[in-house]
Amino acid sequence: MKQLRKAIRVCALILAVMMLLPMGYGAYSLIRYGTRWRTSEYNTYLTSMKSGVAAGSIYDRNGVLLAFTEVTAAEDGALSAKRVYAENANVRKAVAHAVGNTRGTVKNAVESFMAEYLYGANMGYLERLSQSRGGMLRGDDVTLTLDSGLSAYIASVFPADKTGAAVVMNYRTGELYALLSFPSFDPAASGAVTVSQALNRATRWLSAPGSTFKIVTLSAALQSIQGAEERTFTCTGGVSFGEHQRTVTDYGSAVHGSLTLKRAFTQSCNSTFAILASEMGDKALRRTAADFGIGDDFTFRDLVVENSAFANSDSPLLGADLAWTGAGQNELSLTPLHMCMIAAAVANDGVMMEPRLLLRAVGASGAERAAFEPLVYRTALSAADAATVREYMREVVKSGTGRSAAVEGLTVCAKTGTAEIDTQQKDNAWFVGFIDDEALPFALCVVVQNSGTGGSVAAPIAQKIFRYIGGK
Amino acid sequence: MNIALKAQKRKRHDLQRLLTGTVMLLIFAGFALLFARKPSPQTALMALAVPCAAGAVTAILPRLFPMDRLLLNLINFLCALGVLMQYRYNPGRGVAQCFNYCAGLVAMIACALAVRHIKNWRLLTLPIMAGCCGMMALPFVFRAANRNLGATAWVAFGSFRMQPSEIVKIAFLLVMAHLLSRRKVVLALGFTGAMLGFLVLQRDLGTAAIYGGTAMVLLYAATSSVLLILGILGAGVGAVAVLYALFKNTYFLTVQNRISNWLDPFATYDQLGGGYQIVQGLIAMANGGWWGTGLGLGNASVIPEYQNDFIFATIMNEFGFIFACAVLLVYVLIVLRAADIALRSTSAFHALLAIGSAALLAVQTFIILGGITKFIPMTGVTVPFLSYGGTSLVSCMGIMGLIQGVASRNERILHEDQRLAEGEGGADA
Amino acid sequence: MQSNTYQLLSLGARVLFLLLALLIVLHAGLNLLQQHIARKRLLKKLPDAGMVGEMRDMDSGKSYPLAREGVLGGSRGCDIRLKGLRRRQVNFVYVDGKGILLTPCHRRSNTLLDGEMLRRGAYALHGAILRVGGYTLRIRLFSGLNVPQPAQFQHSQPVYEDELYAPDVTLAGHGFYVNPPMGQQPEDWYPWEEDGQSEPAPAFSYAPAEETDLPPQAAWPPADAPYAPGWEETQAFPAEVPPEIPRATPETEAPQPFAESAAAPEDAPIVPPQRHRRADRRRER
Repeated sequence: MKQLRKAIRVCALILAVMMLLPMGYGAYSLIRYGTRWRTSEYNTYLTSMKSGVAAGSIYDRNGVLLAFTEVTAAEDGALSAKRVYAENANVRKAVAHAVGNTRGTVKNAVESFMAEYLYGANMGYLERLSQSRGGMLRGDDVTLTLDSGLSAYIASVFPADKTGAAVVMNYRTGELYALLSFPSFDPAASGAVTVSQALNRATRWLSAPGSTFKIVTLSAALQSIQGAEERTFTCTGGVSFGEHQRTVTDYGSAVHGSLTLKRAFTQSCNSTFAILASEMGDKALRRTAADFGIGDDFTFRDLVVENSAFANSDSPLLGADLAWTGAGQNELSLTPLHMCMIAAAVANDGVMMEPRLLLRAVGASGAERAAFEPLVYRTALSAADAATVREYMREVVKSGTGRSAAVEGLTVCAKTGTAEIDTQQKDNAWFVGFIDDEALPFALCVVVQNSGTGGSVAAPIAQKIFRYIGGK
Repeated sequence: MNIALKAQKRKRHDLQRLLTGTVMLLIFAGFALLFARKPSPQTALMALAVPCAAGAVTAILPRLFPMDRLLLNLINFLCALGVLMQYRYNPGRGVAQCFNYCAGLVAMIACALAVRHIKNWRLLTLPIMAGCCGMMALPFVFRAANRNLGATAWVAFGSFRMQPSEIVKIAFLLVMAHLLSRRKVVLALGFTGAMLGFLVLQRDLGTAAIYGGTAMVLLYAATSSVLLILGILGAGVGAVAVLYALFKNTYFLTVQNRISNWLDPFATYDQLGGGYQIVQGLIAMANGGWWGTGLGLGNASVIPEYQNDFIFATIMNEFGFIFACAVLLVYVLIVLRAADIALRSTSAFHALLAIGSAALLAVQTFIILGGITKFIPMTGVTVPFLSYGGTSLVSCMGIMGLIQGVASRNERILHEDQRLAEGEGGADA
Repeated sequence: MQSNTYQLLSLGARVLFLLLALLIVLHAGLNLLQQHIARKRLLKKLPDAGMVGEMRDMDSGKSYPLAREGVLGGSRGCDIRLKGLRRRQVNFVYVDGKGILLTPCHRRSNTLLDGEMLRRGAYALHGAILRVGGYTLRIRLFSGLNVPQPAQFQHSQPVYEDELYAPDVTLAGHGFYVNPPMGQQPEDWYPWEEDGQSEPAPAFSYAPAEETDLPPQAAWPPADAPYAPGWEETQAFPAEVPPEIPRATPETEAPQPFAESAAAPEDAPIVPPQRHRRADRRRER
């Protein structure tokens, strides 16, 4: 019996702990994913939460009204609420993907994702009590970090018939100044919205970023290959790898001859970066990619971003696959926003900030519900390496493929990319860049699908954007 | 000594009154709120009757049949909460659950009396074992009638539906406790294997896990040999692997389905038998947040099976996560109390019976809670005491009755010993 | 009720529900803990609670409390732990109305109960002697239990069972307990009784009436002693110290003829169990 009693004590302890485990896990997932689930499109509670509440207004950072609720009283006293969007049609269309609409056409846009502010879910009890005396409850007013003027401008300079995305971010704080996706739609218009229009390409479209990925390869080379900076590479237009001797070719069959690392980056030489990737191996490249957030499960506070992936599987890449990955092709899939974050990390001395959309949420009674605070997402690379990469990116704009993005009076650093997609006739044009200036700490990413090279299509658009930013 | 003992008893009595009162108040508040929401005479009646019934049971029952009051209080709280939740969504179900509770009380008293008075279980064991096997085989007999119900774990004739594996749980505990107290480990393993076999054939994997978990706890308690447990686990895993390889595409499809639902329920959301239930459960949990949406304001009815399997998600939705944690702690307290009772037992059979019942409750709660919070893959098991369903409530109350029986036996032996210590009729303290 | 008002009411009630639920959990938890501690304290005051008697090692004089159910063996998890025995030797269960059921754990363990080999199980009564692995244990049960009494206790006059075993002589020099000589008050000799509960003075001499009928000091060992349970107690104790019986290891122990085994515990006097509250009372009223 003594043995039995001892065993019973042990069993009781184990059983008690076992019962508490699921709740512990539940608490963890509630903290981590609670907002994600609450704002999910499958949540039918939102509709009931929204009834009886006049949604709060949405402003941009300069106070431009992007959306508000018009409450009208009918003859019998019944109140009805109608959502009205920005006056300017261009502004409306430019911020449509970021702001969304009450129908939830755009997944996880501000109207749905920040519903708990807009519909006053976080109202204190007493506040609710006092407000309910005066008719319909009013939700909190939300001020976004977006700049509607900038957004409208970007929409105007983007080629009208092309699809793509544009993201402008403050690399010191992480605030998103523009989040655009093309084609867009008018939330005030009543017509049907196509799937292509509803998709937020900036945050939900994954694709190989082309040579813009060489930023990551370069960082990996600086970290893992000794003396990479001083080496000389020879480019003969193509390098073969692996047992099947598949060749990594340079774009447009360019032959660069003998190059330093800097020149290879500036000229975006595929061969060099293929050799680098091959040398450092899958593990090192993957590790640096992970440092940049590739492979992370993004659970940002203010928005939902699709997770980027290094390759389709976890098994190590070899030969030509690894080489092409180093050059920015193969199975890489990144969103434009993530690419912008990568460039922003380089600009910000290696520290990647979390992208933010919410500047302020203020209750109808004036109580401040939430205020913006910059958050560090992760440290991507050391400040020294970031400085080196910055220098290289500067050279890209000075003498390399990013010449068309140069703006007088501004120190623009950039990397262009041209992603070849099998199913498309023309390539995707990528461009990431930033202004190396304390007063204008902006990083951007522009993607134009099915258009041409990064340097020829995306860079001029970026130039215009930089000029607009610099001119302000 | 006698005086001190009596004073202690009185103090215990008082605390229980306070506890009972708190339970009654909570339930009354809940029904009062529902009355405010939709005034109706039935709701008013429930608001008065249910708390009074809970209080009456806790006050009167221990006087008639020897019972552990604390356990009774906790069980009443859970059952009353279950009635409240059922009533909120469907008044008809709420009233039906009350009647289920009465049936459960009868089962509890019956089991308690049986354990308290039957001294020699040896002669009963074999017939009970045969009965178990017979009961478990019944669903196969009723297979034709079962076809439309999906799983073959039910026995249905006419409008009466029953799940024999729930009733067999009680018999299983008795048999295992008896066999293990006699150190007949091999026989116990064989019996468990037979029960698990029946359940696996009936595709009731959740209940099979419950039986398996309880058996393992009982085995460890009886033998204190970690090696044995590890060996059985290893053998079990091996058997599952072999069966998986053989029946990968027929039987194990449902298992694969369940596992893929568990890993990413959002991906299989739109498919039949996909992650819809789990996703809605998680969303309900998220909607509730820490403090809850408020009684009557939630919308947990979108979850399939919100009234039995996912009743806990419903509670998390309307009352909040912290309240749900408190409810879980009540379950934990029941298990700890049962373990306490097991420790006080003077006979191995009763000790094993008590800890086995505790283990069954704990494992069942773990499995269903894990399924709801996506901690483990979802299985079709009910939440003890809270779920709507006669068989489930009756079997859980019966199991509690076993614990009560052991407790009352302990008290009787203690009193006997005290009487002997003080001498017949003499007050020597 | 208007939905807005109800919403406010329900949101406010959340606090109430949470508070009450936490109160319930706290209450119940504290209650559980208190009862647990109280029971522990009670058991400390009544160390015999749950016990049915004791087993006394006749060679060393050590007493082991006998629970209602347990196992005797050499491993640490046994209820009665005797070093040198196999891990689990004998299971014992108190069966109401029958006595202590002793069942051997292994088929080939040489365990003797009252001289007879213990095969599948036998009931032991008060005063039975268990020989296992070199240990000789006397089973003593508390009075008042529902067990049949061994034959020799059918006396017409009430008798205190302890006094039955008190020897005439002192065997102090050999580590045995000293018992009071006949006629002396027992309370002087039981200093461990805390509450001063004393044995009532015997109204008559220690020895049972039959003792005068007993044969004089018999030779050691008695050659043709008839066997009866508890028979040896009725014998007067030998004057000289019997030879030390070597402690046999379980492997080397050979089953001995019952006469010799029955002789072994004769010389060990029985000491009343060291209880604080128990008074061995008249077993029949």
